[in-house]
Formats: sequence, C-alpha cells, structure tokens
Amino acid sequence: MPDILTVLSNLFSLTSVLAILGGICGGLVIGFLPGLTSNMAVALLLPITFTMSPIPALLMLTSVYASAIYAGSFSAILLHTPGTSASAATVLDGFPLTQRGESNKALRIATFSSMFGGAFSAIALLLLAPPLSRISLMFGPAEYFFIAIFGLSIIGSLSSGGVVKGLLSGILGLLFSSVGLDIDSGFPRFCFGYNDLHAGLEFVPAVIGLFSMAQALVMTEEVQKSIQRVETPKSSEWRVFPRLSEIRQIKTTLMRSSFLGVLVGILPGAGGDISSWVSYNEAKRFSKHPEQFGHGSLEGISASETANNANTGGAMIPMFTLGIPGSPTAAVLLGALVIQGLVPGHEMFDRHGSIVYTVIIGFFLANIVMGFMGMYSTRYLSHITTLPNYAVIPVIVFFSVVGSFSLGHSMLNVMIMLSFGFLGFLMRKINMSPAPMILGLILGPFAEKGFRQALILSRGDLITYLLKSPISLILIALTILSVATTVYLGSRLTKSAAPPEEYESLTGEKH
Amino acid sequence: MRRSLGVILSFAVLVGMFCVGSAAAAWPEKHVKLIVVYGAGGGTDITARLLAQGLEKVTGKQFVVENITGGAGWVGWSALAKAKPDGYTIGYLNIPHLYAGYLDPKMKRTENLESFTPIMNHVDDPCIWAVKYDSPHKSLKELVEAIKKEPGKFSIANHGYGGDDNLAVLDMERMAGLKFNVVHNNSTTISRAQLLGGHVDLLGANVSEVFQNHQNKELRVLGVMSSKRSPFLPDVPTFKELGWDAQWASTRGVGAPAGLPQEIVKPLTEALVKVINSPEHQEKAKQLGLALDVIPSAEYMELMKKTEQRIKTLMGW
Amino acid sequence: MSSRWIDRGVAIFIIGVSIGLYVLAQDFPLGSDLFPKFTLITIIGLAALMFGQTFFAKTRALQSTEKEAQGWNTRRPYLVFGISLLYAALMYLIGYLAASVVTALLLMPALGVKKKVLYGLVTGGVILFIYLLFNRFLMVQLPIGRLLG
Repeated sequence: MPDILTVLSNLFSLTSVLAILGGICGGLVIGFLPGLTSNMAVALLLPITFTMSPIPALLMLTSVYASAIYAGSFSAILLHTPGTSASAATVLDGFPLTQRGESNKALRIATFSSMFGGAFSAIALLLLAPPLSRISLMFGPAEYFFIAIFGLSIIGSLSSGGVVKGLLSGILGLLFSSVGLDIDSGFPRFCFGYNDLHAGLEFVPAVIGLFSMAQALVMTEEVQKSIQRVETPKSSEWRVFPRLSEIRQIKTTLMRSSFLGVLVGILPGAGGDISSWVSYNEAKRFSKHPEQFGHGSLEGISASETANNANTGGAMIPMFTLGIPGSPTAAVLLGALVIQGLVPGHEMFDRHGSIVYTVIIGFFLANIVMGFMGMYSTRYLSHITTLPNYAVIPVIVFFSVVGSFSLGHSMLNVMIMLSFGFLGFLMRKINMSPAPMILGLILGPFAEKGFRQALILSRGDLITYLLKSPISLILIALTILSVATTVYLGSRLTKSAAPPEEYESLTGEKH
Repeated sequence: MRRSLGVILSFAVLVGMFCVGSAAAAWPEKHVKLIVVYGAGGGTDITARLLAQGLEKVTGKQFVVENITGGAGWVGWSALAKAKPDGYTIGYLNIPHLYAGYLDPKMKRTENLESFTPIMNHVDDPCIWAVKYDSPHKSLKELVEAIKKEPGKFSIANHGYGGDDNLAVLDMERMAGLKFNVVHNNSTTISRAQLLGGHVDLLGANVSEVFQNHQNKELRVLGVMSSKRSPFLPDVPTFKELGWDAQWASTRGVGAPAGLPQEIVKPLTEALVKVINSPEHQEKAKQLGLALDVIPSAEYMELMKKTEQRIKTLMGW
Repeated sequence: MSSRWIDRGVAIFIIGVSIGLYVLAQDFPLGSDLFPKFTLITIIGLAALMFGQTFFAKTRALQSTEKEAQGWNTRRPYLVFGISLLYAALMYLIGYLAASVVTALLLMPALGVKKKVLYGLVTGGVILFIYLLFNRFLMVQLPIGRLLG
C-alpha cells in the first residue's frame, strides 16, 4: 500500500476536489431524470475525461456513478417515477410516504441508506477486492439459472393484488424478455416481421412506462389534487439526517442490504436493479412488520437504496482486479480505466497503488458528500409534490418521452415506453401489480440463457450438471425458503388486521 | 403562370447549386452527426468518441456521437442509409455484424452494402482463441488433437450467432473437422468470466478483449486469426502459421449514405487520416489494444464485399 | 361493469393471445422455442386460474377512487395517452421544441388546468430545461423534425 500522505495529497488537490464535486452535481441531475441511466451518465461524461489525468478523471466518473444511482431515489420517492431503473423498488414504499406528506422522512432514509451502502462498498473495495473478485468467476450458467429462479421467487411477496395476478404479471414479463433475435440461432422471436424489434424490448423504457407513464395516467383521474395529500404542518422541520429511532428501525436492513448489494454487484451482468429487488425481498422476509411493506415501510426504502449503492462499489471489485465489470456502468468505467493506461489485474493495486487507492478513497468520500448535496437540493425539489396534478402530469410525460428517446436515439424506445405505460395503467385498473413484470423482464434472460447453456454444457446429464456446485445447492435452498416464507407470510397477513386502508387508493395499487 | 414557374425553377436550381457549391467549398459548415449503432460506453462507442474528439480539433466543427441502438444494429444503419448524403451524417459500420441483418433471408431487408458510401476503415481487431492459463493444452495443435480424440467434449464461449467469433468457430469446425458445444453470450465479459471460472474450455474473442489477461497470465491466447501476428500479442502465432488459414476479425470503419459526392469524401478522408495518424490517437488506441488499420474508400468496399462473399458461403445464405 | 366481469374478459383475452403466440412459437428453431413455450403454457394456466377465481373470490366493494372516477374522469387517462402518442409523432415531425409547446397547449384543456400562469411557468420551464440539458450540456441532439430539418 502506498504512503497514506501521497494518497491524501492526491485527493485533496484542487483538481481532485473539483472533479468529485462536479461529478456529484452531474450525477445528481442525470440520476434524478427518468431515462438517463447511470450507465449513460458515465458514458456521456467519458469524452470529457480523455484529456484529464487519471486521478481526477476516475474520481469524476465514479462520483457520477454513485450519485446517479443515489439520485434515482428522488424521483422514485417524489413522483413515482424511478430516476434510474435501480430505484424501481424504492417507489413501492417511498411514494406512499410522500403522499402522506412525509417525503422528507423518505428522502432522509434513502439518503442515509445510499451513503451507508456506498461507503460500505467502498470499504469492501479497498480492503477485500482481490479475494472477493473470485466470486465473480464461481458463477457459471447453472448458478445464474438458479439465481434467476431465486429472484423470481420474490414475485409472490410483491404481488399486492393477489398471488395469481402477481405471478401472471411476472411470467408475462418473462415472455416479453424473449422478444427479439435469439442469441443462439439468430431467429427473430415474436417480432412479427418488424425488424426494429430484433434487439428486443429495451428494459429501461419498459420501466419508465410501467412506473412513470402509468403514474401520469393514473394521476389524470384526479387532476385538481396533488401528490401530497395533506398539508405539511408548518412546524415540521426539514431534517438532513434520520432520527436515532429511525436508524434503529433500519439498522439490520442496512447491514444485510449492504452485504447483498456488494455480493450481487460482484456478479458480472447483474446490476443495481437486481440487488435492490433481492434485498427488498429479504428485508420483507426478516422484517417484524412485513405488512407495512408497500405502504411506506422505512425498511423497504432502506433495503432498496442501500443495496443499489452498495452495488456500485461491488461492481468495481472484479473490474479493478480482473477487468471483468460487475455492472453495465462498470463496463464503461473499465473503458475509462484502460484509456487512462491503467491495466486491470491483481497487480494493479501494487503497480498503480497511489492512483487506485486515491480513487477508492475518493469514491468513499463522494458517497458521503453526495448525501449532503442531495438533501439540500431535494429540500426545494420536494415542493413539486404540492403542485396540482395538472401541472405535474406534463412534466412526467415530457421526461418519460424525452428520456426514453435519448436512450437509443430512436422513436422505437418511445413507442415501447408508451405501450408499457398504457399496459401499466390497465394493469393497475385490474389490481395487477407492475413490479413483478419488471422483475420478469430483468431475470428472463438470465433464466433462459443459464438454462440453455447448462443444457449444452451438461452434454446430456442436466441434473448432475445443475446440482454439482455447492452454490447451486445454496441457491436452491434459499429459493425453497423464500417460497415457504412467502406462503407463511401470506397466511399470516390475511389473518392479521388488514393494512391501513386510508392511503391505499392513492397509490393506485388497490388491494 | 408559366413565367412564374420558370422563375421558381431557376431559383430552385440556383439554390441547389449554391448548396452543392458551398458544401464543396467548405465541408464541414456545421456540426456532423456520427452514428454508432451500439450503446454508449461500448467498444465502438469509446473509439467513436475518441475519433469525434480528434475530428473536432482538426475541423473546428462539432462531431456529435449519436447512439442509435436496436434491431441488432440495423435501426442505426437504416437511419444512416436513409440520411441525406451531404456529409453531415456519417456512421460506424461494424463488420461482420452488418451482414447478418440483410444476408440472412429471414430478415427480408431492402438495404445492403450498396446503401452506404464506405469512407475508411478505422480499427481491425482479429479474432483469437484462448484457454485458461493452467489448461493442459499449451498450443493450438495440442488442443485440436485433443478435440479430435474426444469430439463433443469441448465447449467454447463466444458472441452471438452470426458475429465474428461465431463465424470463426464455424469456419474452424469446417476446416479442421472439429465439433464444439457452443455457448453464446451477449457480451465477451461474461464469456471471459466463464473461461476464467472453468465453466467452458475455450474462449472465442478478439485481441483487444483479452490481451491484458494474456499478459497477466490469467489466460493463454493460442492463436490469432489474422494474416500477421498482432503487435499486442507478439508471442502468439497466427492460425495461418499453424496450418489453418482462418482469418476473421471484427473491423469497424466510417461510412456515409450511398451517393456521397467526391467533394465531401475527400476532405472527410483527409480529416480522418489526420486524426488517426496523430500521436495522441495512436497512443489511446494502443492502450485499448486496438490495431488501427486505415483502408481508404475503394479498397474498403472491396474488402467488405470479399468478406460478404465468405460469409454467404459459410452460412449458406 | 363489475370487476369480476373485467377479470374474466382479461383472462380470456390473455389465453387467446397466448394460444396464438404458442402457434407462432412452433416455428422457432430447436432450443429457442423452449423458454417461450414454457412461459406461454404457464401464462395460460395462470389466466385460467384467474378466470376460475372470479367465481369464488369475495366481491369487494368499489374503491373510493372508482366511485369518484366517473364520466369525464374515466375518459381523461385515455385522452392524455392519446395526446402523448401525438406528442411522440409530433416530435418526429416538427421537432422537440415545437412539439412540446403544442402538447403543453393540448394538455391544458384535457387536464382542466385552473391556474394557467402556474401551468405555463412549470411546463415552459421544464421544456426549456430539457432542451438546454440535452442539447447544450449532454450533447444529445433532440429531434429537430423531419419537416423542418
């Protein structure tokens, strides 16, 4: 490890500090806007860093990454429109709180959780990168298949409108994920002769449609009201940090979700969205108050936001040590790393120690600083929830359309977004929750590819191949546990008193 | 009536001449769109942004990278083919990924190679085969023998159907009489992790994607599918040296819509050559493991046609 | 129409479409048909369950919003969705700025705007903000329009 003084002097130079602050500002804006993903944020700022020296360049890009993932929660909490797809799970509990006039509470929990998760992952990256990166290699086709199945077992606990409708929504998501050219045979599946669909239905426009656009349509039914249903009491103060009592409520969730976020982050191809859903489900399973989930549970917000920020550092672990990015955004960061002449590998921590350690410690600091900057800006941003719906609806429509356009620079994505928006609206009309559909869309490719690759690699003996690794067995056990607890929780919830009715209709997800 | 028509006509001709004339006089007059058919942050995108930055310095006008994704690349390529051939819309052509979209009869596409004006090839990234560093097969010869001894035992991970890695596998299967269990991934990142984790025996990828792992002794590149050795892997023989004339690569270059006038092709080509030959650009490309291979317009088209023919025979399209 | 009948209609619709898609999936090459067929069969099964459930589940009282949402309010979401579709088309034809202004004006009567000044300030501000952010800061060109460009 290099001299700590060198690292600190690198870090506290003017250019480094400016790079971090600039990165955070950019990340907060881009992350807040639906459609602009963290991936795109880093890629768009990449050319600016071509001419910079490695330390400020990487500091800026990692700060953008962290703060974009964090800021996705703002729009999820305030407008029911996840700013990045990794914050989709935050909507479920953040938005009900906003409707009750407690947006500050939701935001400070999300902020504290994001800071905690991000900082935790930075420490993991700093201290344990080489051993942890080995995990990314242990996951082969069979393990990916089982992780997808495990992820899908969450559906039961997400379905607010009954298990059958929830499962139906999830499996429909799986079906949608199979649209496009089949990677093994090049055959266009369900394209109906429409060539533009060959790359499949893009995931991000689908999320924007199902959550944001559908929300705008639901809001048109009550145009004169506003998102926040109650007058905020004049005396209520704006708190930057959660109360101690609130932290006590979420402290186990923070630890569990940080751990899960880093772990999922290490897996190549699995990004922030998977970590937040998995950790949301685990939080619900172990919670003392599972009935509050979906109605403004602090644990729910915390689980999702801790995990997606813990994912960022986790995704960088195999990126630095093996050159294998753990998330799509880390893949772009890898490009930045290489273009700066830094060769990933186990020796990187020795050879380029002063750069790598400066960047990681800078990343840690960025995760702290972004929380303060975020809380000060959301103080003003949250006033949008007191505007009448007729003024907010066009804002959501404009951002949804322009955001999905800018993703692929084509009207195709806008059409996908609008179709899913209408579908999401109709689903909410018949009490079908859109969350399982998103999960199906994310996990479908993992499940299918994992299974088919396993089929090829097993050379006829599929069962032995699937069961030969201990990780597979652990995942199978977890899946069984997950289904069992869902069934148990389900029966417990129907027996216990019904969840608070008064805010239900506001979320549009009726029970 | 007739007189006014005449006035309008002559006016139109004048305007037309003025437009052509001015375009010829000083291309570029405004910002230029550079279409990339893959998402922001991918391999093509990073090189495109690198190039765009250089072009901005050389021409003094903005070069805006536009990522038009979807349709296995063809949403963007269609947009490029349909754009006005005025030099203000250019784009990256990715070979051989371009071909599958129109050669495959399933696609029923009207555009083809003739829909573009090739300007210049930029990058040439040959295909490779690699094994894990601790694999018992230290050379291609040994490996091929082992595969022949136990057909159907070996697995190879590569990119999707019809991509360069996949074509290379099909070609070698045909040439050397091999049979693989082929696993397709949509990103080489996953394929490489599968190799390093021991889930597959072989990796089909490109030089730029593995040369660092080769140097780090994490995997061993057995052969490069190019006419001569790669500067990034000087210790690795070519397939040709070893007796199999398999030459496959992922190449990308700059193209424009068909019918781009020579008055624009010329300054565009000059600007491109200037950027690509600049020490800055060369240095960055070296770090990315990309072999720059400048092939001007006519030869570039010829090369693409040749590859098209090879793919037609190989895939039976 | 009661929610029971809507559920039954939706279930029948899903089953019908799924059978159609299953027939399509018969033509898929070996291997690539596995996953779609599996999901389609599951979907048909679940939709049948959903259909069956409508005969057993307790009838639930209409939610308060559904009671409110009558007449004008039930049609409004469809109108706004139509305008959003038009917005996408207009953006393609006359570019981002003009299309956004037209859409904002069209939405005004559709949404029953009361405070026109507030509405104008919010939408105008957002339109300008998006324009500057994308075109100036992020260097992502928004459409300038087929007819104008």
